[in-house]
Amino acid sequence: MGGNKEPSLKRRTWLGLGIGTLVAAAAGATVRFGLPDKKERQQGKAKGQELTGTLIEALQDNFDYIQLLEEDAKTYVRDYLAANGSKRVRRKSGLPEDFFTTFLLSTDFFVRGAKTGTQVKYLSFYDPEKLPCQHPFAKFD
Amino acid sequence: MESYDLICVGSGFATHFFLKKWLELAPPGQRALVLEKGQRWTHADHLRGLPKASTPSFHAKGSRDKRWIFTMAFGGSSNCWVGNTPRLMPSDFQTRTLFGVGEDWPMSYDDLETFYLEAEQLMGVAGPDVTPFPRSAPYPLKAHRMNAFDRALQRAWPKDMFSLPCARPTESIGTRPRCCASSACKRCPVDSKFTILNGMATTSADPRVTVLADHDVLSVDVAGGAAVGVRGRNASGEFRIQSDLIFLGANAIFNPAILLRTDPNGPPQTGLGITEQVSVKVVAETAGIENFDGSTYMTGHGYMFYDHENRKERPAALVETRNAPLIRNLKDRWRDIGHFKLIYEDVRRPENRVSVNGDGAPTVHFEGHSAYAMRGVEESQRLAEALVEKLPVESLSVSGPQRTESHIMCSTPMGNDEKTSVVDRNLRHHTYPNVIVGGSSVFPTAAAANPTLTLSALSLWAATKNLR
Repeated sequence: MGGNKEPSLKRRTWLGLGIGTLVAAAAGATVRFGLPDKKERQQGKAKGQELTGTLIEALQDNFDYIQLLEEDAKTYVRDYLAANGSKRVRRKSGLPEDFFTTFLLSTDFFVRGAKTGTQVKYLSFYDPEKLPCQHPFAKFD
Repeated sequence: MESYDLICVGSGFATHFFLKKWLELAPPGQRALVLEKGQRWTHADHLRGLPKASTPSFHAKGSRDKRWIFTMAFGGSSNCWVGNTPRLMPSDFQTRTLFGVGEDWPMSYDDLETFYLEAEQLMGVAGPDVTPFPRSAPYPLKAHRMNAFDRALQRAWPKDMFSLPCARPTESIGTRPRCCASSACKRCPVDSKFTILNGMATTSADPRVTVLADHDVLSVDVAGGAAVGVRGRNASGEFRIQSDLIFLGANAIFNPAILLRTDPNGPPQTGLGITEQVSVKVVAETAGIENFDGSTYMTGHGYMFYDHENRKERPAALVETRNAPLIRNLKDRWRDIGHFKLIYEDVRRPENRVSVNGDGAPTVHFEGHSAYAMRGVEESQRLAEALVEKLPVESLSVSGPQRTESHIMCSTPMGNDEKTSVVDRNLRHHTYPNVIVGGSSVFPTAAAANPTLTLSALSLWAATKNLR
């Protein structure tokens, strides 16, 4: 039969795994099922720090016409990743456009007249549901 | 057994506008009951993300891309709508006669005009002095400010571009503050847009009205060719309540499901033809248009592709512009951009239908929009280019079709012929005339314009025609 066959573990393998688990448990060893150990956690943290660093650099490169504090950039990157997840920024096609545009909307840049060459202040992550009435360009005449 | 003079099923726009008129016209001493399947959340609850859409209330088959969006809670989809309130165009009521597509509505625009006015008053609609559809009185509130992209379009299309009418007020009304352009309308953070909770509270609080949430009506009880009540279930078990006037104000998935469970041998069109409009998104990068200075979330409606000469071949399209800031990542050109949707009308296809399976849950089978609607989608690039031809546009990007317009329609259409419709022009059910069906399920066609104002006006119309 040429159909797809599900990969299966042989009986002997199952037995071996079962005995191995019992031995490990009896010896007081920690049997883990997919949870990261300390080393992996450190690696993950390092990866996260590396990503944060890359994104801060990307912000600084993109916005060479304004001054931004590294602490503000860091906070924004943290908030952006919390809102969007890191998968979205690891795309092969490059950073999503809104990574940059949301940053501008999250600062006082437009409120202060979009003056280039000046320092901008990070206000809070741009989320109109949580911070209403913050449309920076709306006019009500 | 408990008994009421009127039972309304569902608690959104359709029910509340019907109930509002019923309270005006009913003889003294009569009582009404509103049964809502969902819970009764406050505005603060909705801001916290309730209700969670974790429990699917229906099955979906066919197109995997299709989404059907609504809120199951007291106030229905008034909790999640964005508040756009155009009227239909007079031509939308006569698509069979004028263009040979879809079905004519069994009423004219003129029949509904005064009910449109009343619905606009109740919602506190802000709109322009000049409109593409005829009006016998001005809008209650002054129009919203259009944004720079709208104004550029208006210069290019002076007869066809208008400030978008909407229930996001330009001045405070009662407890509702003026819209401050938060652009988060699905859950308005300042409770400005009209909802049943903030705009019709006096209707459901009337001492003649009882509201029961968490009451899922499954079917109408019938005897001798007429309705005698409803039956359903709640947390305590099954219930039956008597009435000799039933108003079905659920959405276009649940209205036909209730009717199919009531009588599987009812009008043959019951459940058939469910659809909504279909749209594409367009982003135009411009040169020299400093955009987003409008006063609300969406600010412009364009009718240049609506009543066009080729509507026999391809559908009407409504242009709907956005004022939510979508900025460019380009120094000094941040606001040189416009974004809008092209929204196409659709017509019913019998393959798209609501059925009820063994467990009683409705199933929506959707095989896709009509060929007529899709001819519009295929023309989108050309339409978008024609739209901005006279504007300083550097690039255009068209994406779609979108998975939903959040306007479910056409599954219990009205008409004069029992073979091609489910209810008559006064929204009375063809088999059980003391059952009145409301909401956009009764639309014979899915016009390009947003349906909420029209379905609200229809509820006022139905109450007036059936009770006066």
